[in-house]
Amino acid sequence: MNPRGHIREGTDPLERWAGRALGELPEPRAPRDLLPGILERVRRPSATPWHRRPWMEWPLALRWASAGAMGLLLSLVGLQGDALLEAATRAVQRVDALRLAQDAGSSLLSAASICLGAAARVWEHLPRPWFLAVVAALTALWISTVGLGAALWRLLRPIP
Amino acid sequence: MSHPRDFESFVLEHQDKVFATALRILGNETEARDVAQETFVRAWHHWDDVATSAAAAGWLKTVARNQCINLLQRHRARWSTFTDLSPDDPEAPGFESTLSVPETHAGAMLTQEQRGILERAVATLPPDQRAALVLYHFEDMEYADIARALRVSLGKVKTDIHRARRALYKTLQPLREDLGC
Repeated sequence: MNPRGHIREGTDPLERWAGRALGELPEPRAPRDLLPGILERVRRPSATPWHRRPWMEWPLALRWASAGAMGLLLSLVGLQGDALLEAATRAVQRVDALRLAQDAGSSLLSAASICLGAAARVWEHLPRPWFLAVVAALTALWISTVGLGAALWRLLRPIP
Repeated sequence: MSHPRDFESFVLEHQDKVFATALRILGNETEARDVAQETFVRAWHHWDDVATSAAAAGWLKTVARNQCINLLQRHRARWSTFTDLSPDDPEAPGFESTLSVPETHAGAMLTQEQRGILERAVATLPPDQRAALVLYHFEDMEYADIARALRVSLGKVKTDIHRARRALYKTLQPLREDLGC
């Protein structure tokens, strides 16, 4: 805020008038409940464990430790990437996880092929022009509704 | 962290200035309170630095001002539609002659009542005009800096400030005449 007595003076009389008039306004006082509200908010995060807070609000030592750990991890990956990958693959093979993953993958693939086959059969038996017209109409309706909704939201949403 | 009592004293010392900055820019007490609260919560998160800084007051004002500007920019989609309808160019010939201010009125000597009216008039200015006017007259920012901060053209800033001054002057003019000023 302009300190009292420091009024911007311009060449325009209106600017000078405004500067002086505004300079005479008293400074608004903060409401009484501002301080309790602030204190309540600054006490609140201390009840939240550090790992649930944003990284910037972690204790300084933990921020340094996590940055160091991340740096170490990245340099390990950068310098010893191949060796790490090989070691990880060996570990996975040891517990036979790869075979399990392959089994799960093949089950998913067969389920997907069944679904696609069923969809293809439905597609073959549909009356094509009628179906396409309905799809086009539904798509146009959807786009116009979303567009209208977005426009209305921008215009009418309450100011938070 | 310092003792919580220190922070409480710090808030008490600076809360009026922070709140006044926010209230004048935003013209809305609820939003100004939220901005002031958020400003001090940020100060708390940087308390180790803020507590010992000689520039703490300036830091608080800058944080509050930036928050207000961000808030205004979020609202701008609504109000720019109305304020951009008739763009005056403050640098165009004759622009300033739309309202002549007698030199005798240049030295404002406002009564208590007039101050109240002026305060209400500032609060009811359109948000873009109020923000530009407050940043210029209360925050001592230059036109170019205001334009950059509000992300609008320099011409619009000058126009908005001129319109705001004119509106304030017009608000007080009848009273001046009544009072024989």
